[in-house]
Amino acid sequence: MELIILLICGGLTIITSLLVIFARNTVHSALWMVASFFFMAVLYLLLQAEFIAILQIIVYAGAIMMFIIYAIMMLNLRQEERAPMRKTKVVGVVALLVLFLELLVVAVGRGLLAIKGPVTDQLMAKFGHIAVLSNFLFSDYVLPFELASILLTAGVVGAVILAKQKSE
Amino acid sequence: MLVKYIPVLVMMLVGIGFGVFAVVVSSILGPSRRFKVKRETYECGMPTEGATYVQTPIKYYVVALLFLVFDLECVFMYPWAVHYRKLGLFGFVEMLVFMVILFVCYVYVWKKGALEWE
Amino acid sequence: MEMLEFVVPALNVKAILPQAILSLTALTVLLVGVSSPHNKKTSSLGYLSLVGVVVALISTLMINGARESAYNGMVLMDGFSSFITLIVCIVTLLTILSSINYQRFFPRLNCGEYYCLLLFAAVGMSFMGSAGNLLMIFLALETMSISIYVLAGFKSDEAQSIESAMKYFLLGAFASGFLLFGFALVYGCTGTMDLVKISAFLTAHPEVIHSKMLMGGVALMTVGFGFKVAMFPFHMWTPDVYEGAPTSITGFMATGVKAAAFAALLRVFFVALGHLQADWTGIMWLLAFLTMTIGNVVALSQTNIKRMLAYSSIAHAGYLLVGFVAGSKLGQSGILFYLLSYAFTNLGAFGVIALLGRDGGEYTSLDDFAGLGFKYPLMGLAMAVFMFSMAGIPPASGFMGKFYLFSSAMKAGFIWLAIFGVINSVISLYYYLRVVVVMYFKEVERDVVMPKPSAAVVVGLVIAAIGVLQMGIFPSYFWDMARQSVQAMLM
Repeated sequence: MELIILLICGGLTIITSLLVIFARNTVHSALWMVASFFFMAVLYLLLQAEFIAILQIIVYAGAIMMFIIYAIMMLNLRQEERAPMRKTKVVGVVALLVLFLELLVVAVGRGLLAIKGPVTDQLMAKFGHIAVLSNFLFSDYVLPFELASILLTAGVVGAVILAKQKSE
Repeated sequence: MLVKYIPVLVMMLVGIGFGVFAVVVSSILGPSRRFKVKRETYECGMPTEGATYVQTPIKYYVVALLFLVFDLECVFMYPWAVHYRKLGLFGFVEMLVFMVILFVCYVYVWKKGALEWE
Repeated sequence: MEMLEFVVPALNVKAILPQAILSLTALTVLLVGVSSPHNKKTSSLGYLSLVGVVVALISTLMINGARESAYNGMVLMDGFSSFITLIVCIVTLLTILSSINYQRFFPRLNCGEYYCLLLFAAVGMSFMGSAGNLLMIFLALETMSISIYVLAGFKSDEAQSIESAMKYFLLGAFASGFLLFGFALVYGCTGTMDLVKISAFLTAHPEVIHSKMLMGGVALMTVGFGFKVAMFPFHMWTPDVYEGAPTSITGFMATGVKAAAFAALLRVFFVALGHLQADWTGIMWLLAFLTMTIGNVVALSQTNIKRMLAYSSIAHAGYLLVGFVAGSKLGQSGILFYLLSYAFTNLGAFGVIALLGRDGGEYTSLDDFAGLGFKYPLMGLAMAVFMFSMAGIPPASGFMGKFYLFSSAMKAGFIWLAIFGVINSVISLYYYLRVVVVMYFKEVERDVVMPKPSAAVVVGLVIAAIGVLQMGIFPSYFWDMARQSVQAMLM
């Protein structure tokens, strides 16, 4: 059952992602992106990452999507232009396909020996996903957590200065 | 495993179903008369002018970005709040550091006038 | 029944002291910059950030010698991280000194945000040197990169600067994607993101070492890091980005980013993936050769000095990769030594170029240097020293740096690579010396650009020149320091 859901949602994620790229209307591609984010959220659920799945919808399909729409509105795209197929593009597509095949080969069929982390099904069932996540976020990963605030600040400062300088 | 999400799925199906139902039913039941004026873009009864795509000022973009960043801040606060009792004072102080850094960012944005809409 | 125990992690302030100081300074500068009225701004913000960097530098020297892993392996405090933090602090220091002068003619740069982002980038860079976890490396890399994308486009009234930022951002984000994918594959293979634990896992499970998944991860990581250090097939962005960015930032990008990216590269490949050394050496050999050759050959035909130095920075990445291919402790020490030497040299050179920037116009064509040598003898001399150092002519530090790198390659048995390195150095002589020749012997066709140096930039150039000569004439102090740093690397 899970495998079927995985295949359906995985396939739909790929299809909608391709539609994002190939849609000629930029607003349409933004909408396809929302769809793609939704299916990806289901994939996260299959991986038992509930919180990430919720974030995927709230942050990506919500906030980031709005952000992209504003970017499209700002760009002043009057007509949809169709760029001619150049030789470099063909080379790029071929290289991408090769890379894709390589990754398929890499990912297909291996029993994993990897180290098991401290997060187990029982733990998550007993305390809930978010409590477990929080527990590790504030103990093992407390430094990356604080660094994230620096990263966010750098992002805001950068965006505000670029936008404000322009409008001055 | 995913059984507990069936209610969510049902709700989504009901939501989508309602939307589809409303559109389909109204297109079946309602009379369909097509003429030129009716097919034009509706803008409060005024004739439309210019292209559909207008360039929006960058102000919107800045606000969207600020929303995004403080949205992410809330994302980090959520697990902290859920597990607050266990995390205790340590969690509180760490969150405080996180908040103070982003508060500096907020003060900067405010002073810079990025929140003003002149 | 399992319990969810919250263990309060040990807060090791010492391990992140320089970074914490830099972050605090950055936030202070940001607030001070935005609260002071626009017309009353002097270079006080620059001096404020300077103080922060100097304090961070002193704290780095104070904690040097400590050797422990902190925050559950997130930060490795050892000689290696101290050395990288030292390089980062020196790079930031020289950049700020140069910027204080440069901003007089480009008032857009005179704001708190500029110094704040510079310091944030420094935080990211020094964390890249001390990170002991793939997650930490990624966050540090992003902190560094995002700040620098913006800094590259800081002159937003110039199309070239915007182009530079845009190119760097798009390609950089793409490269970060590759890097992240590589990290994901390695994590999937080993189940941990901790560099030391990855290595322990691979020792315990040798059958994983040659799994396709791990190989794929290593290949993708090579792409990601290769982009940041401007390695051969991923070097295309360098000239455009370096040319368009404000000159004070270009030097920062060429030295700081390179040092940080090489630090992370060394940590990931030698600490975590040391078992795969035999596998990556061959490909890295080829890339090192191609990187230096292409950088040098294309640099020959450049007439814009910023572009020329961009290609030269590609070539220098190639030299550094020679030490990486050698793979021995000697090679790694050579890389550290060379990074420090390159920081002094390149920031000195860019400091001189930034001096020519004038009232919104940059004078970066090679012809603009004509006649400068006799008119401004000290500046000409300094530029000549930096060019000699880049070309690797004794007694400048570049010579010793190349000597250590190439001899480590010889000792490790990569004799041909060392020979190609020497041939490349000879090729590079042409374009470095051309700058000196133009400065002293070319007829002046138009008015010589008048540099108006302020005290800050003079101090900066003097520090850089002393650094270059000191490292070239008395290298043993720095060489010992680099060797001890590598010896003390936590494995």
